[in-house]
Amino acid sequence: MHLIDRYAYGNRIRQVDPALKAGLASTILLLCLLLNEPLVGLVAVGGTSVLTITIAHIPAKTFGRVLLAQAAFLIMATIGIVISVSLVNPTGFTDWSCQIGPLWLSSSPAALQQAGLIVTRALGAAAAMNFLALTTPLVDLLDLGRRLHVPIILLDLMTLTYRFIFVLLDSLDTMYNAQACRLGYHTSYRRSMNNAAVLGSRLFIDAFQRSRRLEIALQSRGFESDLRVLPTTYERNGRLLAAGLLIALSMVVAWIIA
Amino acid sequence: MSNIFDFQQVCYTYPGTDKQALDGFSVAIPKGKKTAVVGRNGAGKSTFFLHCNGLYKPKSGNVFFDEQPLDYSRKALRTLRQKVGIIFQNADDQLFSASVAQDISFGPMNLNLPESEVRQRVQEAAALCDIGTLLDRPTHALSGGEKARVALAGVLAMRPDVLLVDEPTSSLDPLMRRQVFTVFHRLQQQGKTIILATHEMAIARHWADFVIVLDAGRVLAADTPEVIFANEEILTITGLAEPWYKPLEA
Repeated sequence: MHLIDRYAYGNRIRQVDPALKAGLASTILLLCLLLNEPLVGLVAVGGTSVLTITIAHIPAKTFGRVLLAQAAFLIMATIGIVISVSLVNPTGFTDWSCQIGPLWLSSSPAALQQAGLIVTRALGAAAAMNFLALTTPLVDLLDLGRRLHVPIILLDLMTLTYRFIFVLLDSLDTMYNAQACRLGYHTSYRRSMNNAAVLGSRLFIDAFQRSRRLEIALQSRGFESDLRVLPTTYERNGRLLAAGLLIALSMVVAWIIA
Repeated sequence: MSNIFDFQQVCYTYPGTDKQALDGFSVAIPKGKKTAVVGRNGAGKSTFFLHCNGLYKPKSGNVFFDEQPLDYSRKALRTLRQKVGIIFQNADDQLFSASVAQDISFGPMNLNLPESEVRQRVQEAAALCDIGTLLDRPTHALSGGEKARVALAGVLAMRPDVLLVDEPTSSLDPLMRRQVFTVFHRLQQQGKTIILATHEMAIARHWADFVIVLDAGRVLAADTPEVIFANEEILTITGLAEPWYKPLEA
């Protein structure tokens, strides 16, 4: 969370209009979903990697690690598609089978192909979203939401949630340290669990009291019904736009070839 | 000399409690001066502040701002809150946006100013508080001292006539304190009234023109620092006598 946040604020295309970044990411995502071919997904992964690493200057290692984490989840999820388990011998349906005790495990070229398609498609879509997440801080996305007339109440809730995640994490840290300093987690498992529960309830009360103080502070600055703030001004970036369009085009070409 | 605030026999109890947070609270605060509000924890400093911008309404008694009784209508409160800026003790309670620039723009936007004017005020307030370089930073990446100055800028961008600050020095290092007081000095030269709630007797004695001593929801004394600090009785009752630390006798 902190890592992604840091890159979102510190990358080379931070000042670029979020409309462009979000537009590119969602175009690539949509193409991944519409053009149902493994090659399209691979082109999307390759294209967004180049975009993120060379234009936004996010380290390749970071981009790779985020994508790898998602790939791990994806592969686990597709195990069920690749391998079927049954009590009867599947011979006749497929040649790829083996028996473990009373169970038959089997697979087929069609199942593998299906899994390959799902993994590449999903990975392409995920890479596009990673590009957006790593280059655009949430405040810019909220700004974009305002321009797109997303309901204000939703945006205000997101503004406060995002801001107070960090405040709450700080409180959590302090409270945990205070407990640990008095050996709250050093005696028994039972005591540790009990102390963690106390910490949770304390955090809830803390959040509640904080919300009262926030309301008072906001009203003091003339808060009436919504959190009105100045829209940020952004830069245009022709290079990014051109690169993005090139990726979208190559995805279409990849689809035609496949 | 006119008074910026005049409290006359104000009483206030928090909902759900019997204890009088303000109990016949009467004081007149001079306009354009530096005032320090001192008193023990729970003496009513914060409750008093929240009466100054109409967030709390007295159960009985009257509050005057600039010689006029407070008007609690929606429209009047908006004007009042522009003129009376409050800075809270904990900056994290006040900063709601993850963007420093957007947080500072919140007050001026609520005044329905045109965008160009808001932009100019954000820059101006940031320059006044020396945080021009922080405008693009996320709020959660700031240090305590930086947050305190951003909170200050957020209020100053509304161009208040009066500034009420709750514990401006707590949790700031000496250098930051000096910086914050430099800002107060600039404001005072513009003719603004500054009211600080503080536990630091050095501020009350050497910085303030006027000192108010609170105890249990009442004003015990309100006078120049010379008079207040010559009154042993007041200092003993409130435990404000200097120095606050003495080695324990064996």
